[in-house]
Amino acid sequence: MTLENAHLQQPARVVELTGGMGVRSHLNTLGIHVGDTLRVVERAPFKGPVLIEVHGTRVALGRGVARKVTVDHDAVCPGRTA
Amino acid sequence: MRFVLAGQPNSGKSTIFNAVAGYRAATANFPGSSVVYTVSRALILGRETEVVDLPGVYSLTSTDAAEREALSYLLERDADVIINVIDASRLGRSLELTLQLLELGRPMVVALNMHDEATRKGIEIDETALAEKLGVPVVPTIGRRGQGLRTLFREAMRACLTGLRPDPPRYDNEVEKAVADVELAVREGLEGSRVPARFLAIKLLEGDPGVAAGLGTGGVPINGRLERAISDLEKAHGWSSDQVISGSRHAVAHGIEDRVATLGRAHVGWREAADRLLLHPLTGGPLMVIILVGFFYAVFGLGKHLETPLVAAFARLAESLARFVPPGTFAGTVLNGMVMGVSGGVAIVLPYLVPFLIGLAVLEDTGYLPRMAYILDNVMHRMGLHGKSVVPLMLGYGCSVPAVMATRILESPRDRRITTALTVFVPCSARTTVIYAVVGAFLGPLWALAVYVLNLVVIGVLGAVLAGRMKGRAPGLILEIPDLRLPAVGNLAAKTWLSLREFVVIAWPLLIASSAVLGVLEWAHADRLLNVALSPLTVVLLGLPVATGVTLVFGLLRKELTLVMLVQALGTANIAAVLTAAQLVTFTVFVVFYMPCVATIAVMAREVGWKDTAWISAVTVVVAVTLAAATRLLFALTGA
Repeated sequence: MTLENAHLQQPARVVELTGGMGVRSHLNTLGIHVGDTLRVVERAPFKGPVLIEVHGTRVALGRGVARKVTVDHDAVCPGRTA
Repeated sequence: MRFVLAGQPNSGKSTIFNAVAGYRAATANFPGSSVVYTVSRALILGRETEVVDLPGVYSLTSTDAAEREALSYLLERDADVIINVIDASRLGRSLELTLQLLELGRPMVVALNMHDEATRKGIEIDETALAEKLGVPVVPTIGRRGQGLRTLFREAMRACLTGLRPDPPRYDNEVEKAVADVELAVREGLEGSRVPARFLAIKLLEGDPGVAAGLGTGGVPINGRLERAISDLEKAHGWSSDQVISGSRHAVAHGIEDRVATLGRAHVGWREAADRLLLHPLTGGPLMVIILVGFFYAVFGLGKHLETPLVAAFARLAESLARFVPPGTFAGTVLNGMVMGVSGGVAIVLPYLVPFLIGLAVLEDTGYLPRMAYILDNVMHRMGLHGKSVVPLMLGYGCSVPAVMATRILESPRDRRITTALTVFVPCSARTTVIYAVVGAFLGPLWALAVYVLNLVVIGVLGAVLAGRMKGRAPGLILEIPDLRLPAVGNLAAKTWLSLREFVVIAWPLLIASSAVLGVLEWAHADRLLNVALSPLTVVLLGLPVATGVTLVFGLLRKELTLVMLVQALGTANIAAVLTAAQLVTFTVFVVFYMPCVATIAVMAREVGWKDTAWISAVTVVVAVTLAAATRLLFALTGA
């Protein structure tokens, strides 16, 4: 699943980042890498952006960008929270 | 001695800079509020130093304008000491930039800033351990309260005098092997250069397009070697080389964080509760409307209360002056013009400008602007842009000049061009005073609100049209949402003053001089020439009095002049006695849309080029004439 349909408020682990180098490096610099744990805080209505929390920071991602972040709820390391 | 402040966006560099240099760099609570670097001379610990505030960057790659600016400054100019400002509450992420700065091999000091916020989040940092890990001094600071800054600069000075260069960080074995290979190859070409071979090697492995174009490989043909190193890295990890290096750096940074920081219980307070409501799918939108409309009414209410007595006082002054210097004479006309200029500034512009600027400063400092970007992302998408464009657009309500510059936070050139065009249409604070003082004051606040709504509709339609015509959609919104913050009164005052000084120092003398010039023109009856020349527009098309022509010309210099000149040209501050409701609205609509002022034209030409500036200006005139003529027609048809 991607950030577009991940469960709200539940820790999830980033499995893959798709998209071009520009988007990937931008996500990297905001602390979103493959293997990082994050959680979806809120999703704006009408296909609006997705608000996530990662390493104590909140980041807003447009739907298009959110679709490029594949996550998995089951792959979260025990004891790790976003 | 030159100190360079470098750090991630919103880490508090500009706040520290302002603390030593006086309020010069605009600060705000959103990432990317500084898009250019600011330099100031300051006396620090008795020595004259130059302090440079670089724009905030998340990393030292060259993928956006701010990063290119910071990177080229660090590579091309001599920084005696880099002061790396870190947001202590985001240690791991901030360290990723710190590691890259260490790669530059310059004397460096780390300011562990906002450590009060870290404490609030339950984060405890052992700064001695951190200093040991990084190999540079670490000083805890709270920039907003000036805490720790003395120690910080003392350490910076010591670092400068000893000239101690830190060791670059070490990454995982495969990365190190690739770096060593490429480093060996580029070393020769870099002799005598400030750029360390290791730094260039890493940039080349990352495939940084800006560095490759700017520095190349130092003039040494190493292409075979570089490609081999890259393909080895990619084979070993299964990801692209840029991801491998960024991942390795990420691991080192978070490894350090895990060692030096302990995470306790975060204090959950009003910020979290407020954010729940402000960003909630159901309440976020309505609250935004309430906040903005509330802002509008507060400014209007306050301004009106201040304006009325001030205007009356100046009218009495003009009357008593007229007794000493008869109005018909040359001296009388000029003097009267100057009094009008002063009173226009004090009595009409300032009452609305001051509360407006304070309100905007509050919106900026609390961190509400990026939240608006989140809420409006959707709407902006319908238009073919994305939420980040909201930030420059909102700043446009203050002044078009910084707003046009703020479009640099947008990644794609297409979005920058469109957003620049739209920011010019946003009524700046000067045009806001026209809306408030002409339409609001005489016809009521609802009419003024209607002008704003009309303006928003025009911006929406124009945005959609432009976005539909220009290719190259941006990937979408990626924006950090900073924590909400209570604005500090001192900072609000300093910020309001920074904008207000612009009015007092530049606009006001211009107002008074222009008023005197208009006085002379009137005395010589030369204003008629201008008015007659413009009468096809003003009288025939828009149905305004012939005297308004000259006010529109002065408005090109500064938009505030339109209002003051109108008062003078009509000979009374009680404009409604001379103009009908239709004329008040038509005039305001025209002023809100037509031609950017000279300062805006200059900054647009610099940012997007003369060609774009020319067509944007042409569009403003077409829109202004069309809408103002339509307003007149509408009033005529409805018989209002």
